[in-house]
Amino acid sequence: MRRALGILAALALAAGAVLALAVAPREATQGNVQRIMYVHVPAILVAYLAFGVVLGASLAYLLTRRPGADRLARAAAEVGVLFTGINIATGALWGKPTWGTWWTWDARLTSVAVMFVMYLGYLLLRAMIEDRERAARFAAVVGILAAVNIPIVHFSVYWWRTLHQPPSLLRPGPPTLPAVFSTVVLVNLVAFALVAGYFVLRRTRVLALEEELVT
Amino acid sequence: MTDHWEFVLAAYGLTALALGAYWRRLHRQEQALAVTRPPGAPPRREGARAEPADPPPGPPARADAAAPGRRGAASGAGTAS
Repeated sequence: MRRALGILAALALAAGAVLALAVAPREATQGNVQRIMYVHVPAILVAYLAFGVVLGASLAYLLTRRPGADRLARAAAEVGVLFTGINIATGALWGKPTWGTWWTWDARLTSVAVMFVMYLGYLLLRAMIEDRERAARFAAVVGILAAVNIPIVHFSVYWWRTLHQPPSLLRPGPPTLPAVFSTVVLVNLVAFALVAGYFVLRRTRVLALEEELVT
Repeated sequence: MTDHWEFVLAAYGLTALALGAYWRRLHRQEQALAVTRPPGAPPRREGARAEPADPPPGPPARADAAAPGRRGAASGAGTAS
């Protein structure tokens, strides 16, 4: 199943890249640099999804104490950090030619950076505590608290005056993007979600094998 | 506005690099664990207690030597924590 998911994810990624780089039309105002949106937006949406899984699995761990829930939370946190890193890096690469700067302490950018650092802290906390059960319990609490960042990041563009534009997809009302652009974003979102799912499955397996060797 | 293809390619290249590096890391971890794991070892069920490891070769350790000051536990019963 993992292998099939991996192949499907790779195919979806390739299709998404072709659509984004070759099929989607050139945007009238920004030109071709707008094509960065097709990785930048799906990356943060998949990171939200991964951190949502961390929240659910952390709650499940605290309620049931099943090691599988803890492994899922840890794997999803790693994958969420990976995709948040991609979002921040591609955002900087998009910001330089359009805003004239790689980084600004705008509410959206700052809140994403805070979220990134909090989940990095979650992973560091796990690495610092040797006792597995204790690390899992502490991490579950941090995993629940850190989820507060998700709505803060998403709604920061409404709550504060920002340089960053409001959401184009996950917003009240119809999408502001023309159908052709939003279709390419959605294809890439599905591709990234498949990749994230594949990574989480593999990482949970590695964690299970590691625990097997330790015990 | 100029197209800035170099930024577009950098963004896609960086994404591919990050995803590829993480995939490679997972692959290596799995390979390393597969080598360490004894061949044919059954996967552990969720919540199952770990089996005690095989004793190391050589004479069995004395229980009273492992727990200095504890007397009357030479049978080994009650020494497992």
